[in-house]
Amino acid sequence: MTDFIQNCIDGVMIGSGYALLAIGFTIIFGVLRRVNLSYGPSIMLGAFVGTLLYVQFQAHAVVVAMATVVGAVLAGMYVERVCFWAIRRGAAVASMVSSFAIWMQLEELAIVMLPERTYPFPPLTETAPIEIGPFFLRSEHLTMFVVAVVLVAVVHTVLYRTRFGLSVRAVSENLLAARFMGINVDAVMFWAFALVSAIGGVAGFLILATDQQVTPYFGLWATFKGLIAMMLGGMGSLPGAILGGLILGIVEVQSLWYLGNDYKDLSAYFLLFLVLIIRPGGILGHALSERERAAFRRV
Amino acid sequence: MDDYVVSILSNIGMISFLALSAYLLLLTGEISFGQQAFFAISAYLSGIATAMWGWPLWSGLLLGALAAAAAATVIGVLTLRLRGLYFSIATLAFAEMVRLLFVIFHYQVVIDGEPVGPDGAEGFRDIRWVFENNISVTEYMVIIYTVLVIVLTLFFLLERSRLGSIFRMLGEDTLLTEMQGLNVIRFKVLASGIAGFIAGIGGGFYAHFATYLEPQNFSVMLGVHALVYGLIGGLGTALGPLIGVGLDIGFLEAIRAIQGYRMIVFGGLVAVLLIFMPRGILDEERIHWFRLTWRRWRDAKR
Amino acid sequence: MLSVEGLSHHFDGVEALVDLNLQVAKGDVVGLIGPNGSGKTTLFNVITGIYKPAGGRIRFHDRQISGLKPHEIITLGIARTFQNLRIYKRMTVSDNVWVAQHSLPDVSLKELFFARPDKEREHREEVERLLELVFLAERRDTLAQNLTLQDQRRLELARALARSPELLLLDEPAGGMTPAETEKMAALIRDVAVPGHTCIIIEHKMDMIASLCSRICVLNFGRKIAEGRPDDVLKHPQVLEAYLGHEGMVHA
Repeated sequence: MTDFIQNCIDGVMIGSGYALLAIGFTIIFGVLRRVNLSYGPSIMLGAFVGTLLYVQFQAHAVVVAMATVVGAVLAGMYVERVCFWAIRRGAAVASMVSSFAIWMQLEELAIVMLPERTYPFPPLTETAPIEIGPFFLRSEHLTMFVVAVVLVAVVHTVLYRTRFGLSVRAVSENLLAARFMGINVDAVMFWAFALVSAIGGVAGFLILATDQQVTPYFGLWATFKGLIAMMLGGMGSLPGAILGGLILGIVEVQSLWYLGNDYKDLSAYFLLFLVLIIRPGGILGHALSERERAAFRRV
Repeated sequence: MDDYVVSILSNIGMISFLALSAYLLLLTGEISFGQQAFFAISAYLSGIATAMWGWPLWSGLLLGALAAAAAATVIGVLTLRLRGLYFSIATLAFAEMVRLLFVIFHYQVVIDGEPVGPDGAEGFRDIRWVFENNISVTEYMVIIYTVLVIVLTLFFLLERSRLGSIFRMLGEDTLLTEMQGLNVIRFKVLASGIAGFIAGIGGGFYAHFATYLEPQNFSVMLGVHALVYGLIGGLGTALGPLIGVGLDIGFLEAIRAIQGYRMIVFGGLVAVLLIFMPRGILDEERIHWFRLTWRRWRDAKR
Repeated sequence: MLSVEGLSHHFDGVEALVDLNLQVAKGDVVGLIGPNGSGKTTLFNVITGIYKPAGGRIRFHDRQISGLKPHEIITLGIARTFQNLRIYKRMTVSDNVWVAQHSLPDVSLKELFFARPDKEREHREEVERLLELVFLAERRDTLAQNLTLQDQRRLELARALARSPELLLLDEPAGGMTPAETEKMAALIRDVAVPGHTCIIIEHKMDMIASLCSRICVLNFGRKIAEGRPDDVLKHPQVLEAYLGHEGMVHA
């Protein structure tokens, strides 16, 4: 039983990182109604800038973090302009394909920049694990969790207590209406992207600092985790993204413990597949309206 | 023809099957990130049939393709209720499950004192039917292309047929299609099965070309590439995905000078292309224009 | 021919149809009017099987159809058009009508792939005939997305007629048209849709409804509040109140 609870604790900690990634995907999908396959890779590019500073200049962890965020934001802006802004409305699939193409670009760019397979990342903290009764809490995990919670609070504040957040929500609900109300939709999308990239940058830094290394495949990895977490919890729902991330974390740690490494990812995908088949809206799903549900069932 | 060129051309041929598989589903309006799963299932099963059970190539290929079609049909039924991104992610999840299952899949028999068969992450070696039967690489390439031409011909027949238009109708407006008295479920599942079969043909050929299979060959990257080929080549015709394949594997291979930067160039080209041609090079409008122009030219000559 | 008995349906707690009764005999041309949200399109959706009604029954030729799948209901001889216009934008005008023939009883599954040349020629001739009927023959090779709204609505009508349905459900066939265009559409419906078919027409344009329909049924909040001859119904106090209470009637 102890193991199970310990795994849950670890899972929640790791899952908080996934939750941040999922939040990024959710906001992009909510605002742009498009899928950004370059989200993970743009974070990875930021991480490579960070590791460059770390390796060449022995930069402090905070500097590396800032560099990661800045790099991710810049890469995100590039993606936004090329894949989303430049492609006319109604061609959502083209945007997705374009973001895939840019993903390939960014991945190769990272390899060109830093040709070795793996690069070190500064550790989050050097302190020993904290003991609470029979349970251990790795301090990096705790740091990641706390920062994630703070970040979620920040996102919530921005979305619900600022004018910018209001425009983001307006655009998510009804783009045409928002435009008619005078909202500069292009600007909203651009800055939403920047915000999301920044969040991703922080998430990336936290995750990589916990592992203390980065590879060019981090982009793909982060994309998967973010997408899975988002779909598990329910696409389009922020609480869903968070829940999805935490569940993913727990499922991973538990299956790693009880079933072994080979089954870790398999369990996650299996769970996702099940959730999609049984409850397409996700666990917290933005429930399909009755009309939609009724229509889908008959056709 | 030198071996390197034959190898490239063979690759183009095999991947074309996968691209056509994704293309068929795209016609019905579904973006599948998972066709590589059926490619993989057929690759492994046909390899098992010829290398471990002593079957001839044709039977092995057929078995693999049929198994792929069966699996695809099952997935098609399970995902019927899913739309848009939900469908895509479900196919992604399935394909990754298949890949990970192959990582833990061990099945070996002893042949001539050596274990032969899929060995999890170590892969599946020695699928050597083609070599043991003295078929040269060039002959094999011809076989691949012969089958590809047959499949393409069937696609062209499909375009002109009522069934082909039903698939496109599904892609444009499923509800309207049901309102035409057509059983949408039946046709969606049919499309899934056919697409699985086509991917399976490619997989079977691949297994015997590469002679060695590893689960990591069948990653999401392969599947997304297959999808993208159709989306940049255009969805107006079955030639579209082939153009996509040719552009990537053919054209870019040719530019050896940019080897280290190939993806940067390709990615940039694709992104720019999509700005001007969001539905691909040979999209429906362009094909329609070609058809009209050809018809006018033909009528004028009378 | 069509019998709607005690039909009710709801979404998310909102009652869309309440205890609705409607009898349509062969050859009738029935108008269906009511303020926005009164359940007119919902009724069409339930008849054609898109929704399974929460209560009540629908019978077509004495056969219970509520509960059947939409494609099954259509093949029994019902066709419909849509309020927000549904056509295959990426197909040509003639193909749009051609595809409606896919599920004709004389097209077998095998023939979906290998067409018989003689049957195909017959079908294509029928398509041509329909296009001429709605004055779209010259635009037969135009992509549907490039047509004007008026032409698109005519295309929808031709497509609905392609299966020689017994019952035609027309949902705002003149939606979005100017008064002049509406008159032309009304004339077209009178000449082409009404003869030989039974029709139920949803519209907001009272002149058009009055000129085409022998009987009008009025819905409000999912209930039938009046039914009868156009003259009687359009002066009915409850009907006037229902409309003026919302936006006022539209004369076109």
